[in-house]
Amino acid sequence: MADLAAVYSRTVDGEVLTLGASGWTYDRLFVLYDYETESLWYHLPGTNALACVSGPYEGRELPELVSVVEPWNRWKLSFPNTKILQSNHNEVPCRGPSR
Amino acid sequence: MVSLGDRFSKTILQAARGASLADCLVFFVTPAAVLAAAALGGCSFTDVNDEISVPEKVVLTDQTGKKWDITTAVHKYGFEVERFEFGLGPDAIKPLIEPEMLSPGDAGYPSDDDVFLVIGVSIGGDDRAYGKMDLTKSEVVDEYIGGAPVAVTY
Repeated sequence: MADLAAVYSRTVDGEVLTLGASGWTYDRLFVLYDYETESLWYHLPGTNALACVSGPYEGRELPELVSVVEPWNRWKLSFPNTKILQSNHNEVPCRGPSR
Repeated sequence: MVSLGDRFSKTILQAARGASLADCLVFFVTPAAVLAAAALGGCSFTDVNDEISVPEKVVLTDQTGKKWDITTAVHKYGFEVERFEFGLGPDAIKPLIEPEMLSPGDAGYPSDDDVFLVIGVSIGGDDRAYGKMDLTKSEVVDEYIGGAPVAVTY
C-alpha cells in the first residue's frame, strides 16, 4: 500500500464527520467513507484534500492539514510536551502452542 | 411509431429544458416556433430519451454484500470499476475514535531517544504523535487536536 500518511479536517458545513476505511482501495490507496452519510472520500492525485466522489457530500473537500513523518526522537525534540498514541505494537508476540 | 404530434410535443419539452431562451418561445406552438426554439436550444429532432440521458447507476458489491453507489465517481471523476480492489467491508478495519494518548511521564511513554517513525501534528499548542506501526492496524484515527476535528490517516 502506498505510504500516504496525512491529516485532514473532518468538518463539512459545521458537521463533524467520522471517517473510516470503506474496505475498498483504488489504485492501491484507501477509499474512505463517513459513517454519517456513507459518502466516499478519496485523495485525488495532485490535490491536497480528500474529495468526496460519491454520496451526499459529492463535490466537497476535506483539506489536508500540516503534518510530518519523522523519527520519534526528532519529533520529541521539537515538541517536548507531545502526547503519543498508546502503542499496541510492542505486545509480546504470540507463541505457537508448545507441542 | 411515434406520431408527428408526439414528436413536436417532445421537442417542445426538449427545447424548454435545453435553453431558458427557448422557454418564452414554446408558448407559440407552431412548427416554425418549435424549430426556432429547438435551434436556439441547440436541440435536434431526436427522441427525448436520447437527448436527456441519465447516467447508468454503477454499484459495487463488497465481500460482505454491502452495496456502494459509485455512479458519480465513475461518470464525473473518471474512476474505473476494475481499479476498485479488496472490498473487505467497512468493519474489516475499524477506525480509532479519540483513542487514549500518553503524556510525558505516563507509563509506556517512549524514551526521548527512541527511534521509530511517527506522524506528528501540532494544532493550537496541542502536539500529538502517532506511531506509524500503530496506524497500519486502523488506518484512520478520528481525533480532536487543539479542539479541531481531524482524521489522521495512513
